[in-house]
Amino acid sequence: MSRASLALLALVACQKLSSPLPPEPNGLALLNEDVPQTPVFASASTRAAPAQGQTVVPARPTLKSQEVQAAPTLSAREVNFALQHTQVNAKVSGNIARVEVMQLYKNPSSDRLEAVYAFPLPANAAVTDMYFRIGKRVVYSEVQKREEAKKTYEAAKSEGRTAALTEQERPNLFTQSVANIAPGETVAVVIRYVHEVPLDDGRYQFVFPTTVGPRYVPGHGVKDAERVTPPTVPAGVQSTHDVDINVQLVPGVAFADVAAKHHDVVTGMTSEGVRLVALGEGDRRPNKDFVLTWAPAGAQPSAHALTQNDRGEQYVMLMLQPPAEVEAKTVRPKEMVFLVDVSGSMGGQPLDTAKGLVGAALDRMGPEDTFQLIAFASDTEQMSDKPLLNTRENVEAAKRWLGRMSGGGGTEMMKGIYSALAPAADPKRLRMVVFCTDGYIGNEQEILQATRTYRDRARVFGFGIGSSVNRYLIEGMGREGRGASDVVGPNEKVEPAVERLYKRLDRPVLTDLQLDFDGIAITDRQPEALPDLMAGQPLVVVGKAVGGKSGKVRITGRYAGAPWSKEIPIELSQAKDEAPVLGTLWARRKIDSLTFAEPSVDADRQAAITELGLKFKLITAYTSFVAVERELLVDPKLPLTQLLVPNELPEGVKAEGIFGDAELEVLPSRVKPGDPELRVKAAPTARAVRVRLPFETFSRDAAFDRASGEYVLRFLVPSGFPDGSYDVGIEVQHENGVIESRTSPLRVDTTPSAVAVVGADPALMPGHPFTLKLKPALALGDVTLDANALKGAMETKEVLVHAPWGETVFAELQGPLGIYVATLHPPESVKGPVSLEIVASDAAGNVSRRGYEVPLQQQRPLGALLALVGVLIAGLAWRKRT
Amino acid sequence: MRPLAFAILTLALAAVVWKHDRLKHVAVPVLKRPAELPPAAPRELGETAAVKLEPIAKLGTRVTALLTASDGTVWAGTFDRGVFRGEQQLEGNGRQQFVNALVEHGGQVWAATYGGVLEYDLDGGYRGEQLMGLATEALVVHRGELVAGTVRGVFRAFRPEGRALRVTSLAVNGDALWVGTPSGVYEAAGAWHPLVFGPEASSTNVVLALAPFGGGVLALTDNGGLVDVQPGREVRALRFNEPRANEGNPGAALVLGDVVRFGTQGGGLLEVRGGEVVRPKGWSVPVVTALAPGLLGDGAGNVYRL
Repeated sequence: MSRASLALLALVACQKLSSPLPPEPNGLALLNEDVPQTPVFASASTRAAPAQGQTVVPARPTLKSQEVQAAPTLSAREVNFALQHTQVNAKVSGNIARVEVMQLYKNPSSDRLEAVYAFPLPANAAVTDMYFRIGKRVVYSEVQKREEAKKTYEAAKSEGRTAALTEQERPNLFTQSVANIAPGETVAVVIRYVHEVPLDDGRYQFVFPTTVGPRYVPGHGVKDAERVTPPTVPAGVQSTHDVDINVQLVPGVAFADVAAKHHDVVTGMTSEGVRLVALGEGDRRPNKDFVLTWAPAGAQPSAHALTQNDRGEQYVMLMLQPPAEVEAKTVRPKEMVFLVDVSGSMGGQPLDTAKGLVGAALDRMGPEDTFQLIAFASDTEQMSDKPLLNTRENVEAAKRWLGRMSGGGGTEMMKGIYSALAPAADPKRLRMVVFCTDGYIGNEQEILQATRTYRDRARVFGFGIGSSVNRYLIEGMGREGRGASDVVGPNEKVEPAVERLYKRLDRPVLTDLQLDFDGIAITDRQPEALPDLMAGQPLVVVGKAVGGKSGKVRITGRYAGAPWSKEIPIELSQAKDEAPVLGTLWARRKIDSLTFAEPSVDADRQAAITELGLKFKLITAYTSFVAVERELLVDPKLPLTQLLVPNELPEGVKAEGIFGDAELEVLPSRVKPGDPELRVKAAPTARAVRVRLPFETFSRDAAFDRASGEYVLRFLVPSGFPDGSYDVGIEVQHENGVIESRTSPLRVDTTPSAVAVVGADPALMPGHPFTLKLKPALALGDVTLDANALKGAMETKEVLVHAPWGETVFAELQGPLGIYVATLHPPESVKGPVSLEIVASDAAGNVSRRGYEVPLQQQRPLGALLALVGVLIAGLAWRKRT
Repeated sequence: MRPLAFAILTLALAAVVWKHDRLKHVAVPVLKRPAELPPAAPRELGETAAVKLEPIAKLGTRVTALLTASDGTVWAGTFDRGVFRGEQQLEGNGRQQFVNALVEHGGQVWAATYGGVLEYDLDGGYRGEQLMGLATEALVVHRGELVAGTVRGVFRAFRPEGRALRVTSLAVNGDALWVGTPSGVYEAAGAWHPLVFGPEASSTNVVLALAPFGGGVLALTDNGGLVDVQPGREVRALRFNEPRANEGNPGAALVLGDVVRFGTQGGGLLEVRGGEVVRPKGWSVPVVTALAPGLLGDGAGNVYRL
């Protein structure tokens, strides 16, 4: 049985044995509650005087001071960060997913820890709850205005109370802060959300993003740039943070052809008829979106309504499929504009995918179509002054032009938008803009509003290219540009995506949609203005039902030039729904419409969004969740360390493409306690460099040195810090707000080098040079040293030899084998035996001293006598012969 | 056996006997622990009269150099925040903020930094820089000229002089210039004094500070205590039972009459008085990083008046 199968069985077991804690505030069915348990707090401490009724969590004194660094210590491919694990449990029914995300934070240090993690969620997620667990204690959150929640959190932090704060930075980007994680302690933060699962071209698609791509912030600034550009895990390093995802599809028989796009999964069916999908054991690195797709089993109604009683009001969700696909009688000529992001983050595989997609789309153009190619990074470049006709020569030239593009530079997306959308329209053709990008920018609002501004001039099709694209932007561009969106992942064929694109471009569009009611009315509809529907795109409307208990809605429009209509009967729900979510989804849509209605959100809209967030307990840009442990206290006298949890670089994205080539140099690379300096030669776009040393609790700013163009930091290695190779964490903040994280090894070395005598004259002859050959070597007794000490012992910088007659010489390094050769000059007067002293020093200045006894040359009577005898005999023999 | 064959055999035997010892030494490698030589035996620190400390400034980072200028103003060099004149932080950027020494010469104050030598007017005005980008560890005035000790050797009046040693400290004793390095002490005249040989050898060759003493110098080492270096004599190491008292701080040496003061990284202030090494009674500042007449700086950024 595979490990993945075991995981699936474990999931089934968990479902059956789910714990009753904590209760779901909205009455949602409990998902997996398999939160790891941590030890119960000790009940007393001698370190601080707790207030009455409070228990102080003691520091764990077993950790030595040098283990303070919660960040990485010894150099390794895998690095431990405060976030250990993310567990995702989702339940999907119809087109609604209820998801629970558990983030497990651990403090491996002896300080109090604050972990800050910027994490992604689906762009349409309505976050409804957050709580955290420490040991068996569960602390629930409340929703507050963002500023108030921040104050509550900060106050708790300063008091030494464990607290958690969840804030929204973008609809698909959130910040989780957890303060006062006690030394050695584990805190499990649980976030719950619901969202609509989109249906597109006959398939549903459930997405869970696992990482935040490094975003470009344009020069004119984004106010919250720091909050949307979290650090990334250094290149070549893999975080030990992993993600596990389990999805329940209910009822299982309603889901057909279930497939994961980028991950290995295992599936199974429970006896209760729930289809389970679990992530494979070997595919848990959080560096790409989890995308699960399926087709509805059996015949589907082309239109239906779902009603729920939520918070005392009746909510209705209308779903309408466009008419069955028909070929257009005549296809109107198009002006195809391919806008390709060639910024640094697109370098390599993503750009190759985009080129393939555009190339395939060029080949599919109609005979009357024209086309334009625009590439943008820090600036834009057009292939031609005006759109070109679809001729074989032009298409070949376009492919050659595109082939020359390589990833590099920033992502000035607004320039690309203007180049593609602003030119005057061709009256004979419909302009279709195909926008290929990973969406790694921080000014989404600006881009989406510009897209909306020009929506009358063109339809925009957002194509996300990559493993973890910014879906909020991609989907938003399709929506605001009256087009559609799609995502092409790594190693995914581009032809099906091109097929879907042209199906939408060439088939009739259902336009001028209107709703008429009979017996019942739907107010506060979201979206307020009904969009045009392209082939394969359903209409989903959520609103409040008023009037009678039942009725019908008539949807009218124009399709392929003729009137079109459809009726949907509505029966309001009389029973109390156990887990209503339509109110929440309506509120989420309403917040979206308030956010995008105008170029900037005015005070009235801000107040409306805040009111919705507080009423429906939703995280919004202006409301946050905060949870504070009121009974237990972590010793506030302990130093507080803040750690930013880095995100993995999305699969397929090259670090060099984003950050350029930065050179890091620690000088000297080997140090013993003293005051060396560290130098960082960062890219010209760097604006600040922060350094976290393994023996310091907090990061420090390096100073920019004008003379050398480097960032420099002076530091001390504390005495007694253990030998080893350590990671120095370096964060380079670039002018665009992107924070580049790297590491550089730093060797702390207090082990002296040792040398062995590998050759010497057998004896020392007064008045004659005496040569000694030495080589770094290990004594047998040293073999038990750890690897770092062994390295220290084997590395030698200089060797000195001192003789009792007062001569001291530097041994010269000679030959390919690295032999140190010392030649001494004993005077005639020397008397033996002679005791030499040999001192070896390493680069860090560690010294080893040893003695070496050399005999004075003695007369050798036996040898001399034998030689004399030999000579005599030979002489006699010669004489006799002559 | 024929006589010629016997003679050859005899000569061969003689050769083997002759070469026996040589062959013995050709074996590689020597896989036995070498006979390690002990450094100087550690000794107890004595005590001297208590010294009163009056805090006069807090600079927020390790103080690495102190100077009372001729106009009475206190100047301080810091580990990574540049030069302070009184409480005023003076101009400097990048590695120029990593200060190692301060000297007044020719009506100006000179600061040795990792980014070169900075020149200031007595009122704190920035005049310029020399040896730009060259890490400079020490500054002294010798024969009326400013001498800088850098990672690329000694520079007299900013011109290179002598061998390109990596200089960590400088001292002037009479007319002689002494140079401290990571490999022992050099007299500018050429004599070299490694600290690790002799019956009372040091356990390190890394010199962090020098002070004139007798006809030679006292060397403060990184973790081998003090070493007495006198011309024509073997070195004499002074190593202490208290481990942190053996860890010197760069540039933390001062001669006051017949007393020599040193700053250590954990052992506080050491004084050499009458051939004994003592510490003021009840001493409370463990990390002494900078010394000047009547002044003392510590690792926490405090400046005290003694």
